[in-house]
Amino acid sequence: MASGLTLRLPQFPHSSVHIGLYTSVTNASMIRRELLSGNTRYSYAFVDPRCVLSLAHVLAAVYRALTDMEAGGMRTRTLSSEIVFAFGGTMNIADTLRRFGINDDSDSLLVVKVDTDQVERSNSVWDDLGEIVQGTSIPATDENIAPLTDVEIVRKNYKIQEGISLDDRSEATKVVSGAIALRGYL
Amino acid sequence: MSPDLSTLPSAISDALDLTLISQGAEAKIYFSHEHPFIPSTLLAGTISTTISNPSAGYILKYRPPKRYRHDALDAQLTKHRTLSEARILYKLFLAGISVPSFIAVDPRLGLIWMENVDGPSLKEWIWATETELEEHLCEEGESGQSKKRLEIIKPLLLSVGSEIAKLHFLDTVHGDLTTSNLLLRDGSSLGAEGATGSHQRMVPQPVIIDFGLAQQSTLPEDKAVDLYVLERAFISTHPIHSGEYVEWVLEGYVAGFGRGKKTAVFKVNEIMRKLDAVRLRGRKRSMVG
Repeated sequence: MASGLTLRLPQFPHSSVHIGLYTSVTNASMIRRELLSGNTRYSYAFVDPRCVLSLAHVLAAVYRALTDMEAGGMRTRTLSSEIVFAFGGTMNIADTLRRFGINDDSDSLLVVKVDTDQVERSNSVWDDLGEIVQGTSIPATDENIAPLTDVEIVRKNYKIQEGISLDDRSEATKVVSGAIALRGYL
Repeated sequence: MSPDLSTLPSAISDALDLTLISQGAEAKIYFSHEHPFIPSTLLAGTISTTISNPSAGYILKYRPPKRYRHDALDAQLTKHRTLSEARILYKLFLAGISVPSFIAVDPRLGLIWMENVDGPSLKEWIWATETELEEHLCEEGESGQSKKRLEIIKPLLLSVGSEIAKLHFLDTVHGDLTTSNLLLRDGSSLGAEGATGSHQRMVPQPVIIDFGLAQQSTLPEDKAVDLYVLERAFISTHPIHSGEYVEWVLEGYVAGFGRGKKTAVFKVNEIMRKLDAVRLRGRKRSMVG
């Protein structure tokens, strides 16, 4: 079973960020149902990979959620939901969760989990996700994310003007990560 | 004056290796090799196609609390100025202006993360270039040097003017335009061949920094003042050739304003007229008679 990516954000050295990527997912609607019902076993950020440009994009959202949490300024109930909310450029929580989060018809998923070092795990994140997600786990890399991205969806989600090119993924990542950082302030 | 890191929030100064590189009246500038949220392993990896130029490092601009101000007022000011600067940096980037890339902001703490621009300021570059020209061309005398200045310095100042014009065309004034706030990317030196070397040297790219005093303004007067501040900066830091330098910057400015669209020509002429007026108003100028 492939495991995903685990890394530490330089500004948060005591937390581990786990990122998993799944294709051929068959039980998206079940996961979504459990999520909405508040099942704590599903405390992961489930993101639609079509909305994701790169790992740096994901990390920008994670960073925003973490800094908001540290400052006591989270707008949603859990860190996982805050991470999904952080992807959006607007203050409309429901709209952002709908656009960037898991949908009933999602056939691929990007999953994020943040653990602080104090948290003890009986089950590794990947084993747990392997039980939850019915799909194929592939390495969470920029190369694997790229083919899953739908650039037009990204453009619509962030209301990026037509004049701004998203062809260069590095420049495009700057555009969205700036929007993420400035959410609520622009 | 020893660096005072004690006011930087400990959560950040503990986690990251930060070096104080500059301290102004309003803010402290720190340098970090590490990105705040992209680990070095990702930055360095060859698979990382989505992060440009990680080697230059990152800048953390910190506006510490000012104890001499009333608390509530200070908090509001810090937040407002930090946000204003961050927003401007991002908007200018979207518009294609050459500025450091905006990464993240914390308005409450007064923090802005941005990419570092690895290169000298225009001030340093001109000094270095003038010195090198003097050394290499002392035999050729003044006319030889002036020709070289034209070849080497003029193209750069034309592009500086053009970049400022783009800024003004977006109705944004910088507020503190000096040769220290213009950095040069890929502008490390005249190159290995030195001043007498090849003519195919790349013109370094000017990057405008420090938008802490920047504002939106449609007034030609405000833009003229912006240019006048830069003109005074040239006169005071590069007194010998400032005449030429300012002329070239303005030449680049006029040429680059609005990219020659019809309405733009009218606007830029208006700004130039205002600049003449502002010059007459300058320090120690008598408007009597």
